Amino acid sequence: MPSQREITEWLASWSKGDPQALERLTPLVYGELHRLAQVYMRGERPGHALQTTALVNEAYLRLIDTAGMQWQNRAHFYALAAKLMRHILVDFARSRDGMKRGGGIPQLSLDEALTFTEERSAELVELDQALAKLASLNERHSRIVELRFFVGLTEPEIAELLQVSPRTVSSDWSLARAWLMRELDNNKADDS
Amino acid sequence: MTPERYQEIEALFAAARKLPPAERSAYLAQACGADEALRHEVASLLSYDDRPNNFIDVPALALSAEPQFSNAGTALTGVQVDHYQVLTLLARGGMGEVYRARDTRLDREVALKALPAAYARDTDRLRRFEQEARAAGRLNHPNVLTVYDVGIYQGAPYMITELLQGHDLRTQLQQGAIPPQRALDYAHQIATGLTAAHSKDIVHRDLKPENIFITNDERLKILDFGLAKLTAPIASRTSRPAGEFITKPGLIMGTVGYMAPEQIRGHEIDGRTDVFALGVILHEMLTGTAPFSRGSDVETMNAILHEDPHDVAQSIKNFPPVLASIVQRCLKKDPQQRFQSASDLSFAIETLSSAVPISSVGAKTNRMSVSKGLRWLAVLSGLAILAGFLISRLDRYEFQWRNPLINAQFTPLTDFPENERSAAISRDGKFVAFISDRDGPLDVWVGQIGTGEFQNLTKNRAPDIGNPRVRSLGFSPDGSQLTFEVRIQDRVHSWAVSTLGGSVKPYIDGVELAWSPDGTRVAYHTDAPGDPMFIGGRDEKIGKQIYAAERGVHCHYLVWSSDGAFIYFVRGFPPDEMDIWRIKSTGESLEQITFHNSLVAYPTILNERMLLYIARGDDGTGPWLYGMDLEHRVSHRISVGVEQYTSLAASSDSRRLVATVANPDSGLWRVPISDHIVEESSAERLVLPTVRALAPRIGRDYILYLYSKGGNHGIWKFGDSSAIELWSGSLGRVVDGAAVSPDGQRIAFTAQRAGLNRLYFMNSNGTGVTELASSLTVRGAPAWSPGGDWLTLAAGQGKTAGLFNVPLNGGQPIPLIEGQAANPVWSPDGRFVIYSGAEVGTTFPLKAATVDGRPYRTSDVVLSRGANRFSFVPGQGLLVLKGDIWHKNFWLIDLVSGQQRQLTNFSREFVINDFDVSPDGREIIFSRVKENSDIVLIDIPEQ
Repeated sequence: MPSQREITEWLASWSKGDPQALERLTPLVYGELHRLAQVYMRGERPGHALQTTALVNEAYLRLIDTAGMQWQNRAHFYALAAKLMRHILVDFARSRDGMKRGGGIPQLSLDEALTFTEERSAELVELDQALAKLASLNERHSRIVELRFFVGLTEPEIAELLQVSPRTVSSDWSLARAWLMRELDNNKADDS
Repeated sequence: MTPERYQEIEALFAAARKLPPAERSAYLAQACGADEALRHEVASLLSYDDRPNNFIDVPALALSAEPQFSNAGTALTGVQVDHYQVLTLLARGGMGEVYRARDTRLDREVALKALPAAYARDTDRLRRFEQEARAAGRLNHPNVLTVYDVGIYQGAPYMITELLQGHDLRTQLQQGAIPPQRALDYAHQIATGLTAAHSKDIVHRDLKPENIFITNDERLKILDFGLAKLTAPIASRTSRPAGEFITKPGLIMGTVGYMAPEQIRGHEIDGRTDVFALGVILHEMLTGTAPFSRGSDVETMNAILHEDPHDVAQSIKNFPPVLASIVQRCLKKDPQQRFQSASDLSFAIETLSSAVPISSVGAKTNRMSVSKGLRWLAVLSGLAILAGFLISRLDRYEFQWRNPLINAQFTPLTDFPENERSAAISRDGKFVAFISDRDGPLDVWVGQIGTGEFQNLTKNRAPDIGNPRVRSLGFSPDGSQLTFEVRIQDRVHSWAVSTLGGSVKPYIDGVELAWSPDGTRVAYHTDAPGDPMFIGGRDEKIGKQIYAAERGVHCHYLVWSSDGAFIYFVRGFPPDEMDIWRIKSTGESLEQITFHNSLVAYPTILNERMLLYIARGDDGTGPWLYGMDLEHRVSHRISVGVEQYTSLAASSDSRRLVATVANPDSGLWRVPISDHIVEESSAERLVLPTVRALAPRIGRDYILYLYSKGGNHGIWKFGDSSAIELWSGSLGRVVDGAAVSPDGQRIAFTAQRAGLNRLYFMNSNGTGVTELASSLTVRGAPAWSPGGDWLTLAAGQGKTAGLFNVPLNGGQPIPLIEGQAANPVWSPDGRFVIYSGAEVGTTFPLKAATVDGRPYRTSDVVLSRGANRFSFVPGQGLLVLKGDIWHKNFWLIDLVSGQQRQLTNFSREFVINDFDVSPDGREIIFSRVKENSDIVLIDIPEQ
């Protein structure tokens, strides 16, 4: 495991546009988020609310030397974490969904009952697809959804990270939200 | 759709959204002109915009935490279930949700456990569960949860049971192993409960730490008899080959680590199955790990079937072999070889408890009861653990390091319910002395080792004896006198009393007397700023000053090196920014020896190479016993286990040490603010999901407190019967209580990361953690400004120290008060800030300043050390802690008239350490600690 300082330097280089730094950073951040997500989901922290924000913050504090950290770097970290969180949660949901369809297990085990319900899993997988579509229409709107839904940041926090006004985030979110809800509804209509 | 089209939609959507709904369609019709598709598109999106409560409104992971069966509508709060009115959710776990409820017929509070509806499908099983749960519930045994009623509500089964206060054994085990005496007591209680059930042919089948509840008065209750029958997978009820079974792990529910081999194989089960499970639990209580626990369920089951359990006696050296064999016998693969009944096991534990040989010197040994025997056993085995640990670990890690206590014998010396503190030992190692409130007030006690007799020497004839943060007590070189610290009008002095008794008299105007090895010179310090240090001759009244620290820095626990060349002492900011330093007795060559920057106390010189002392671990745990080879200067922790060390002293030949060992219990309590003094009976302990709690702060509909699972304190939020961790101590130890903003929406706090205290704030749900003012060296917790837009805190910046205002928007800190100032609190009207000024002796004055830093006039208030917390009671004044240095009560001070009024008169057993006042000013929530300390003698054999 590289040192906190190395990881912090990679984040800084990536923020300055070095794609190789991102390649080094991604598996590390992914690994840490995945590990933490499992810890949270298995309920190994009893009584702890399952909050993605807490999880991403924890990963950030673990991996990055926060002293003297520039906001740009922090913003890049959260953007990366949001993408990775989306992968992790959707993967969890897919595997959950797969088991259901495969009919391999007759009853939910308790662990599973505490993570994803069937309905939730399906919704997450569909949202992931709709979000990909939205990204092709407006990249920023999909990022706002990622940061809000997958990381759990508030609108003022997102505004700070993206360096736009809170009002912009709020209005972007309302259109993205309406658009996604309609998209998911249309999918349902297609299915039935 | 194209990005361009989306952009078009965006503009129209945003514009239309600003209009009242009635005007939107007219606007769109006009704005879209002929583009009917565009108009339709925007209108449809607007219709979605109006729909509330979509799943994407809530963050994904928060959603995923919802248990499956809440879909079936079993979120029961506020619902009437038959004749039970459901009040609040108490816990949510694998087997269902537990609520506090009211039985409206009998008008009593009960617990209601709602089980997942899925379990109701098999009516046959449900009926058997009902029969068995009722039968077990009727046992009416103190160690079995009483079941009042069983029913079905909207297709889901529920149980009504007695309402308990406490926590389950799993929660307890998350703190690590349990001291042997308690583990044995627990196992005994469980075995007793099982005996009662087995006598009615009721087998539990799923005994595990989650199913064992520890009430606040340490009564164990076995939960969920019969539930295993309802929930067990079909597979375990029919006989089938193990191989086939373990290929379908999805069928197995719950924890497999506690199943007996016959259970895994699907064979017949009986009471001996529960004996096996209890063996696993006992093993886990003693060692902290379950004996067969492996990486996966399949491996665990394989281990249960085929592998021998890890021998407790091997993992813990010098472990009583009898106890180890009890565990082994419970864990036999063949039920025939186990204890044949829970009552046999219970008998074995009782026998062990009374048969352990103890070389006792204590006062009441001849009347030692079973429970006392257990308690002594714990100390003995804890020390054995320590010795074993040292041999096996430290010696291997560092060639040079030899643990000085390697073959030491540990003997408990006292077993009073009262606390013993500040233990001292005479140079010849024959007498011990300590401070205790055994007769009510704090007095100096002495006893000859081996006699078991202790005598009260001061008999309430000396004022305010002792001080928790210094070495308060010591023998004169010839052992004829004891000198001890007293406090008179807020100044400290040493008084003396003959070890044979007689009058008490003033001795010297200095404290922490340390006699040179040859007994001709005495080192001490006074309570002037910087704790100036003096060395005098035997009969000189005034010594020569050799050193004084900067103002505000304290120097305590003076002790001479064995060659008389150096004075070792603890220097820094009490209580937890301290380290050991040394200085030549000529006053030269000041040098730092340890690097803990935490609670460090009682340096004790064993010989020219070996320094022992007490310190907190780097993770905030302890205090533990540490040792350092003075040549290599590496600190080694030498105590293991949960006992905390609170004082330490050595005889002159270093063959005998005496220590005080504590087992503290801390919790949150509430008491009303009343117009008269209230007694102990008015204090009520809050039932929390965590075993300990400190530093409560009241938010809008929640209480914040500090808690750690063995490591650093984190911030927990308690509300609606459950608690969540907002800030984990693993991210940084939280220093002092968290501060809730006036609107309750944000929390500011100080946490130690990488050795530095840093200032953070976050939202009240734990999101948006932000560091502020990283240029400051923060001291203590921040206080919110009345408007909630900045924080005031004590800190240093470069060479300036004082109070600073830190804007939340990330702006630069602004100095408010220069000089020694700590613990700021703003008045509710925001007109002034009140804070503690520089300490004088063991007291400090309260000071006040206006928003622009000018002095603000209030009545004079002087408080004593340990009373660092104060808080406003709206409309009534300032709530403070007043009393002697060991024991304080709540007082209310009118800052205008200066009138003071005592509010409480609590038991001396507890030490109040922090509190908060409810916003309506009617109640105090406070944390207090019960030390439970005793004296232990440590004999070191000749090496």
